Amino acid sequence: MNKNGFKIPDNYFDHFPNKVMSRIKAEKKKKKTFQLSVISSIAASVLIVFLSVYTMYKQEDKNEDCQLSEIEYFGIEMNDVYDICENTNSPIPDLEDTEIIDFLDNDELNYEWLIDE
Amino acid sequence: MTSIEDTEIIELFKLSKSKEKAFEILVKKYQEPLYWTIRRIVISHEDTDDVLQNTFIKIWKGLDKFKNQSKLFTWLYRIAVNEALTWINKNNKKIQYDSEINDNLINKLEADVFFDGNEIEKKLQKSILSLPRRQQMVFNMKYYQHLKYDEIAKILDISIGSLKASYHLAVKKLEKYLLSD
Repeated sequence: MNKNGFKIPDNYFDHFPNKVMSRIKAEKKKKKTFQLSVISSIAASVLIVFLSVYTMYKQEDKNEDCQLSEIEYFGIEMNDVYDICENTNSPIPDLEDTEIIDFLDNDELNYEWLIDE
Repeated sequence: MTSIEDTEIIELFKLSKSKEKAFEILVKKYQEPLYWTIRRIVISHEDTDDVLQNTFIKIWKGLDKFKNQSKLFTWLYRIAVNEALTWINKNNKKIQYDSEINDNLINKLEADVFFDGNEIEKKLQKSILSLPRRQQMVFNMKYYQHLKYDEIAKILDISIGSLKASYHLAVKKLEKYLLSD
């Protein structure tokens, strides 16, 4: 085909539609892959945020468990309490009544600071 | 506004099961006129092939949003012209003046294996490429593609008055170029 000197290859227009349709199919595939990667990125971000918040929440819980009143742990400094919290995986275990009584029966304990309060 | 056939193509395109088939019909219907519109702007066959593909990809992406406020072919031609002009600007980024771009296109014409016009045809094409871009497009659409002024006005988004003036000026300049030397 020749138009005023401008030529085109033989059968160009017979093959052109297939060329375009192949490109369109490739574009559709690219679009699907992109959409999947966006969804994965969003899901990963949500998971990271959730884990961060969850970890922070758990850390705060641990600290609250360690804030026990002085009256329950006679003779034990607050620093000792935090040391215990740091070194154990669980909050300070509950003491049996008999254990508390045995501890209080200990003559070496100094109660003066308690009376002053 | 839009011919019945074009309307059918658009309706079929909107249904997912017939979208690709409808588009193939559209490509086969408009590939030639769009090819020549682009070719007269970018000159070489290789560049035209690339631009024509880009044009149809753009049409594929935008046809869902076509609102029937103009004829389909006007909309298609407009995309083709814009893609061709974008191509020229992209490939002549460092060049400031239109006249330099035109010189590049003339060189392309000389070098193109897919141009084998005789001396008169070559001279005419070089003369057209010496015109300002708008006058080139108006002349090509009116003279070679036989489009009406109102159709060209919608494609290029300029008034019919400006178009007629552009065409008149183009013809005068071409006569002068062709009669010189």
